[in-house]
Amino acid sequence: MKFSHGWLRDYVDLPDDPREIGRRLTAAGIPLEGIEGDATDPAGIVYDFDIFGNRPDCMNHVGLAREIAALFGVPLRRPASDLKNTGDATTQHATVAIASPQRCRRYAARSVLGVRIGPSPDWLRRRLEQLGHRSINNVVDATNFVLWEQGQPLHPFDLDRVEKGRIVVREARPGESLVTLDGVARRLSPEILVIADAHRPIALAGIMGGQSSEIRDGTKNVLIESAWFDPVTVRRGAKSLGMHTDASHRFERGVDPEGVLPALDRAAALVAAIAGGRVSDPPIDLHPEPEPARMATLRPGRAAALLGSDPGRERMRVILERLEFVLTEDTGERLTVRVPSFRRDIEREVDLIEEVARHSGYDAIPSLLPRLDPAEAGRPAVLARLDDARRALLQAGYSEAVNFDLAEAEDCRAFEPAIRPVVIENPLQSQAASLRTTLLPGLLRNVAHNLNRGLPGAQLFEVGSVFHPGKERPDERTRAAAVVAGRSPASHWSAGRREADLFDAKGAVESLAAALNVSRLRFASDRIAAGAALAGPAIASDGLTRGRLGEVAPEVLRRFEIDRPVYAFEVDLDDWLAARSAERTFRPLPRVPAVRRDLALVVPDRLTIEEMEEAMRRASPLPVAEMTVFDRYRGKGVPAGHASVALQLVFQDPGRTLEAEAVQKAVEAIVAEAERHGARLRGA
Amino acid sequence: MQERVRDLRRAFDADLAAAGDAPAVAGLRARWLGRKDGLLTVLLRDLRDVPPAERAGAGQAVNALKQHVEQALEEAAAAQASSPVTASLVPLEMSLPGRRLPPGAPHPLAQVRARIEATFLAMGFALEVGPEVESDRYNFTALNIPPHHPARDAQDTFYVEGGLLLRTHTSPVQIRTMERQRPPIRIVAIGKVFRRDPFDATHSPMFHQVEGLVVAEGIAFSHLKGTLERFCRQVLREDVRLRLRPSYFPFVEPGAEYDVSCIFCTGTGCGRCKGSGWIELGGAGMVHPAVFEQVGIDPERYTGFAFGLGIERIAMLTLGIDDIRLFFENDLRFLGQFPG
Repeated sequence: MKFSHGWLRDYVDLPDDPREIGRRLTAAGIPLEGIEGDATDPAGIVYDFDIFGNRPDCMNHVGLAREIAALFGVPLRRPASDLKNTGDATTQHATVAIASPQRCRRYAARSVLGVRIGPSPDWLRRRLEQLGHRSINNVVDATNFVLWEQGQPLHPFDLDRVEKGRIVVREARPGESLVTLDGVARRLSPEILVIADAHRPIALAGIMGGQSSEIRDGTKNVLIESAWFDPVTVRRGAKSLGMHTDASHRFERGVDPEGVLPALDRAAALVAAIAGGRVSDPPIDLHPEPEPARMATLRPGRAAALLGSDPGRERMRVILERLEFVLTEDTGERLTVRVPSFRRDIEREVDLIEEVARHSGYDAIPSLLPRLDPAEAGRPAVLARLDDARRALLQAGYSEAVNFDLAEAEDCRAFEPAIRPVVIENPLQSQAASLRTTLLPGLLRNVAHNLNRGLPGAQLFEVGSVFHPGKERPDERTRAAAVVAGRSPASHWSAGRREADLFDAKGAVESLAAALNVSRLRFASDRIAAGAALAGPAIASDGLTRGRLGEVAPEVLRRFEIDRPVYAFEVDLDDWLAARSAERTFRPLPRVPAVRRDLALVVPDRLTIEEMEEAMRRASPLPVAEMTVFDRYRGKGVPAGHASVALQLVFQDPGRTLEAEAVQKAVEAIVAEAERHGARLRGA
Repeated sequence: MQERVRDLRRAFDADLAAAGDAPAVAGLRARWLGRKDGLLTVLLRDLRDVPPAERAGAGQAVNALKQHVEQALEEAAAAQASSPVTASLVPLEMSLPGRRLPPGAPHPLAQVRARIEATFLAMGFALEVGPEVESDRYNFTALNIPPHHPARDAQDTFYVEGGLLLRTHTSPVQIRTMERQRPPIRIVAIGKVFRRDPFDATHSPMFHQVEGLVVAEGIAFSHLKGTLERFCRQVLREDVRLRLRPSYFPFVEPGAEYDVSCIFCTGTGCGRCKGSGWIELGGAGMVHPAVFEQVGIDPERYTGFAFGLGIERIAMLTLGIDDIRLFFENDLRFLGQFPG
């Protein structure tokens, strides 16, 4: 909010250096955001202070001057208004009724009869324009001046156009509407508090006046409103109408109920002074339920303990009194004060402690580390497992992506057709109107981004939350997904360039599972769903499907505008993360060497390597420590529908040396089993 | 004879040194060990003609040479068989890249997060996590932000079907922790938060926050200062100065914002700190008694402090990044700059 140096100077003596004011107020919780003008013309200096929402009392020049006066220990000069008692009671010209006393706790008004509307005097125009406000006419400017001076929003009505001079503060009725000062016709609802005349709404209470009763060139008689409207009522009304005004900003945060009359008097006197006319007196002042005095107690000892530094009881008392708290009792251990009516933010002791801290300075408080016993659990085990997962994928050559949890429903449905994405009710854009059910759309966007920038390939993973509909709240699940497209980073000049393929993605799943010590990882190619966005095998562990590996379907790639094959996997990590990390214990090294035998088998396509391996292991009379495919060949010399597979078998019995004869028998048994499944020894 | 053996040995060594590749080594074998006219075969044959008195000595010398030749040829062959690549590189070209699988780059936010975590763990904090989809109670009401409170304006919220919302800060983890655990409490929570802000160079609808909470008997504002100071010095620069200014967050009182002396100009004023010499980092304060009352902790007995900060902000400051959107594009040229 903008403040004029010259204007502030009307109420308080200011230091010469404007930066000093900025520095001191910043340190007291009113940060200076900017400053215009310079010391050659102090009156022309305009400060921009950030006034926090809990300090509506500082959103005006007198209020800020009060804070400055307290800070520098100098007196505050309050604006005075000298109204001559005209004996012309306001009630002779207008009546006021509050139909909704909960929402309007105080309503005061004065009439000024016989005004002449015209331009404002130069001094007034300059004041408003200095702060960036437009001068409108003398009556409107006078009320605005008081708003910026005292923080009380006021509204002047053209009294002759207030039907029967009757003011009713009430809730809007269904079907009512009002054209506001900004020319917008607004449909009203009962949650909006209005000022009505005998027939219809003429203003939105605490938000904006109506066009029908606005001050215009021919206005002769004016009724000035000064009221206290309920913050929540004003806020809901303004929100429902999509409005935010200088008035609503203040009412929402709370104006001073005791400031209602002084502001009214000030405005009425000012109108009479610059626009002529006769001010009514006494005013109308409906104040059905005055607020009881608010009291608060400060224990100086408690303040010192909470701050970790003791400004001293006397200093605390002085600070509070300078801030216009009225000391009602001082027992030595307790200072009881009456809270000024303008301090809507002060409710309890800790609020007083903050006042003390603000004005004695946070800089005066020392820096100490708390002495506490070490925390019981440093880091949840699941986070360490997540790090293991991330590290495995990094080592596998995948870079880490972080994408928004917000996604487009259709993108998610492509990969998770069975899951209805959770809807965001007020999205910024339709591409982010749901919570993601899968990590893959985000990663595909990243692939497109990278390929579009001419990179030869992209290998990315993400570990993050997805959201599936749940009973009371969405089920937040942790997933890992990775994508690989284009040139494989594992390419080496000695072997030539290689494009990534499905086995790159599979290798990443295997690395991930190994890092998380997942047992019985399986890739079930018999469960490839027809038309799946990710065509490939289901990933299973412990007999349960955990995710999917595959090539992204071409129509999905088109959707993401990617022109190269993309291979991907996605797994649900929650179960893998919940498992305990492997307890690794030492096993004695075998004392005798293992025996290795190579086999070349011609294997029909219907038999998977995994099935064959399992059968062979079962059939072996000797323990098989390892079984590794080191070559696979299809083509010339191998019958159609078959592949030649070279396997290395490693036999190892920790207890004894394996004799050649026993090994030979084991190999024969293994080959016989393979043959029973349709494979045969190559060359046999 | 002995002299002839010496000459032949020299000749063989020269031959071997000149044999650069596998075919050359195979050629050497034929030349020296060939069954009919290999140089050594011939030498052995000639041994028959040596007078018997010298024959034993000569035989020993010839055998030693034969062993030397066979072993050397075998080693040469083995060396070349095991390195087919180097075998094809004549001369040896070692400026070509080695064979390795380049690791991926961890996300810079993950790296900064890990550093922040490590700093707090070393100070004895425990790590906590909480859900990203929250209820109004945890995100606002229990934090002393009742419905229709203007403070809600500062945190424009995404609402989720079912009367829920995306958390606008990590502060709900404070409430969840205090509901579950009695003091002493010393936790940090790190995670994603969401605000309905347009996506531009300085705003993102999703970003990451760190939340700290310490609750125990005798916790004072001075402890908040000390903790933040230690944190800033560990994560930013050893010599930064910390400044707390009064500020307003409904869930703390006294409330503060904290700044560090500008890490670019060390406090003299520059473009990065807009000439102020200070860089704003986050919000903090003493836990508001109303928050303690919400979770059934006696505010007379216990006091506490809480603080928050944005991970993106720390990452942008320490890595010199000027556009928050870079974190979420996942451009490999960006990620690759921070190989971890």
